[in-house]
Amino acid sequence: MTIIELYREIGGNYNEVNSRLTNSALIEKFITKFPKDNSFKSLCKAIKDGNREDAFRAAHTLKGICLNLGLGDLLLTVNEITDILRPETYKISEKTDQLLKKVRCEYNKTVDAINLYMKENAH
Amino acid sequence: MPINRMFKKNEVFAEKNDLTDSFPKITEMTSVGIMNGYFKDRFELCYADDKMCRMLNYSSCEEFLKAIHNNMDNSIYYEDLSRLKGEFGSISNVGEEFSVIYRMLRKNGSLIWVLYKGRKQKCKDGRLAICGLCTDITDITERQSQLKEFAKTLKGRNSEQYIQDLLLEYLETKETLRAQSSERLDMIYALSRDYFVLWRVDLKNDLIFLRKNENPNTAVVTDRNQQVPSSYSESLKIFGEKWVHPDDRNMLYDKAGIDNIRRQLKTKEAYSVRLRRMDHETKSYGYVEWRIVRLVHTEDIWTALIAVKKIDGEVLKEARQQELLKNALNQAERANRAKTLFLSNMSHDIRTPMNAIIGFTGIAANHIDNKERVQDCLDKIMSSSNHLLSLINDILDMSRIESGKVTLQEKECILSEQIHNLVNMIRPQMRAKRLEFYADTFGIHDENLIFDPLKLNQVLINILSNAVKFTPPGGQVYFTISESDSEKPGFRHYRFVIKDTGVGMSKKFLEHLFEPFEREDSSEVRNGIGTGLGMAITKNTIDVMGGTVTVESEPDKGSIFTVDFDFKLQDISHIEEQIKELKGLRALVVDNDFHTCDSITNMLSEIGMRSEWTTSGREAVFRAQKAYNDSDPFHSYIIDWLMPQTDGVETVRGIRKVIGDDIPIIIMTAYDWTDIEEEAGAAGVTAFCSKPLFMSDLRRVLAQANRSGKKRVALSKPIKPNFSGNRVLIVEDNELNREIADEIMKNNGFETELASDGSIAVEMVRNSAEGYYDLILMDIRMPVMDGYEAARTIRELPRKDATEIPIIAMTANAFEEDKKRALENGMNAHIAKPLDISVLHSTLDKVIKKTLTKVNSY
Repeated sequence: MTIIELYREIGGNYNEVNSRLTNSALIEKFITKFPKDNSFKSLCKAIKDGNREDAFRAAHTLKGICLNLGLGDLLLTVNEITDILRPETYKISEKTDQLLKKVRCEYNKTVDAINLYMKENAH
Repeated sequence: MPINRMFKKNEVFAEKNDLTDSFPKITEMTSVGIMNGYFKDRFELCYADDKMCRMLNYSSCEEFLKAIHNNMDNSIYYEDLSRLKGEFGSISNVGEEFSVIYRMLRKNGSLIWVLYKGRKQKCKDGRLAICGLCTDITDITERQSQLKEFAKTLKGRNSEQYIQDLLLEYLETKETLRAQSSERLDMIYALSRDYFVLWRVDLKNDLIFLRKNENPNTAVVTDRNQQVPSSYSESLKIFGEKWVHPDDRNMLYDKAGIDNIRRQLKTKEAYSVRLRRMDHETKSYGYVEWRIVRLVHTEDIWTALIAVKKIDGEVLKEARQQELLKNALNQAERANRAKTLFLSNMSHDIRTPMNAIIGFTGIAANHIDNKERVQDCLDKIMSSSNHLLSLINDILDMSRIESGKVTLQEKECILSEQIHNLVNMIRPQMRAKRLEFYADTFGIHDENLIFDPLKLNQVLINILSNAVKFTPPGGQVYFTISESDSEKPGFRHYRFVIKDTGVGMSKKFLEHLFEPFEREDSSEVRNGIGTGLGMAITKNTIDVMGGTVTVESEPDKGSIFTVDFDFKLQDISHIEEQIKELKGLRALVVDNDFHTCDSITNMLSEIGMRSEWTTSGREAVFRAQKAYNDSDPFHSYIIDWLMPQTDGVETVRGIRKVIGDDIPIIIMTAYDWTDIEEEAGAAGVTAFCSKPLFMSDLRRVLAQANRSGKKRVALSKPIKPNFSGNRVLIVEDNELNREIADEIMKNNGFETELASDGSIAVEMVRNSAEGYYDLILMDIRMPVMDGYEAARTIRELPRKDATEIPIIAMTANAFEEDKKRALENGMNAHIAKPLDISVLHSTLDKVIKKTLTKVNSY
């Protein structure tokens, strides 16, 4: 799997990322770091605890990473959940859990792809 | 002797006296007839005079006598015959007068009552004769019998009452008749208000009367009120031949002929006929309307009124409306057809590349292991996709234009910058096709204008692209821009002319050039290039901008596109025209195109230089030498690089040999000079500028070339942002995001320092030296202290740079409220992730031009 293929897997546009992070080695470095980032974990925890503020912040951060790294598919679901967590009056409910499920699905897909890439390109 | 001779008028009576002489005269004057004849058992009529014969409707005595076989009996009504015979018989004596009343038969069998008074005479031959005068007393007799009848009826009734009833009946009838006639009068007056001529027509007898001032035979309005009856049908014919438009004559005879009037007015009260009639003064035809109205229709009287009025205005209005409607209908039909054609073309044009994509995808799938084949398929898919994309974009443009959604986004622009960018864009294509490119300006004084730069670009790029597209390699493309006065105050008029020596267009094609999907049907063109919408979009864009475009073209000769616009001047006052340092100094312009030389010479004069020109490089060297020898050397040289028959390098070298290294030599060229930079530099060129040359370009290059002397000044090179020498503090709580930002900033020359929270950032700033940080990039959502609070705190630090240091917020969103909040909390701007260096650059540009002094744009 090449990095271009990886990006295709995760619904991202490699060329777009490349125009900002002009160094392909850098892109690889950052994307392989993604699985270790714990924004997603924080998000899950915050929702479990019913803490809207923390959940929003975690979702927002995760969205920023998706934007920076061009993680297309994941971005879509993260965007959704960020939007509903935004207003301060929002109460975490079952609906939030459902959305989180979608995010988790995409997150796992992304991470799995990255892990596979890393395995194949281990040097 | 014939008997009638015996009874000649004067011979009847033996004696002659005055009375008898005058007698016949009397009978001539009155309606009394003479009847004379022999009488024995019957009255053998021998003579009857003219009056008598006429009374009985006979044309002559002979006819009368023949009709009754000379027998008086045959002229008497059978009922009265026997009585009469008796009365005659009773006259025995000669000379006895008689007086009888009886009925006689007229020629046609109708009856008259006559009083026959006369005498029995004895004639010379001894026969008895009756001579007498006959008077028609029909009316008297009738009245008599009426009175008898009346008396009879009166006997049987209350006479007073009866008379009263009769009187009432009479009065009522009179009233009705009066009302009817008054109604008729009203109608006539009403008509005469709108109608300028009224004719009365006797439909029973086919006669026309004039009521109001016009003779139908001459159709001239006179003042005399004639009541002359003439035959209507004849008058109509004469009128038609003399005054009516030949195309309308038959229609008039038909519709206004006496038969049709009779037919129409039996069932209708009125009807109209329209015709063209010659005005007797202007001798031109105008429309009039005849309104034919029923007046009276009884057993005896049948009349109609013809009222005539001029209706030119009405007819014209109606005709115009009809025309408008017809036009509107035509246009609607045409538009509809065009739309249908457009849609069908469009769907075909979309299907073609779509089919290619699907097709080649299939082929690739089937040959997945054949790398070459797959590559080939992918190339074709790529090109079809690109074509499809540009088609869709064009169609979207078109639909936006059609639905009027395209609006002008005018801004303040500098024409020279705009044009240079444009030309830069088209150069690679020209280079690829090895085309010669000439670009010049003429008379451009005002470059600071207000227009829509995107649209101007679209228009000019489109036309230039076409010029490149349709010109074979080795051909020429000319691009000129000129300025002139505009009719609108505060505006100037700009003309852009793009000429090429390409394949040109046929006259027929030119007519439809700006319609969608029009393409010249020649093999050169039908290579599947282009969407067919380019020209339509261009024309529409020009229209939206309020400009005009004209095209001249001839097949195989090339085309000339002329686009004109009026652009508004910016509100800035006119810059000083002259550069002090250059005033009065000599300049030499060298270009093989005389027009270019002229234009640049003019511009140099306006700057204040004494400028001359030549089209020959060799001459330029000679003149340089001469000027030097005359101690009036040229201060600046402006030379075109690629002159035919002249080697630019040689010229520059030649001049340098003469004048040394101090004087600036500026090269102007329409091409990309990066290729020649080295060679030119080695030859001694000081600076370059791109054609087309604007005043601002000349000023800039002269000013800088002058200041830097020999140093090379590069212009129109793309600006690469380089922030080296600047330090940024990146505040971001997420490790991954922080590292990414760090890398990006480092890549662009920044020195970076990192903080993982707002509070840490505040501390770092507090503990730093004045002006240590040039920029802070602040994430907003951080756990301990968020970005807003951090910014507020930093702003309130007791430091000189606290309020000046640029703080830019950086979040995953770009909501308006985020931007507002950032500004409210003391930040300078807000950018959204993903972090993009060019976005950062333009943001910095806008916000902190003055503070970020270490930013270079070279």
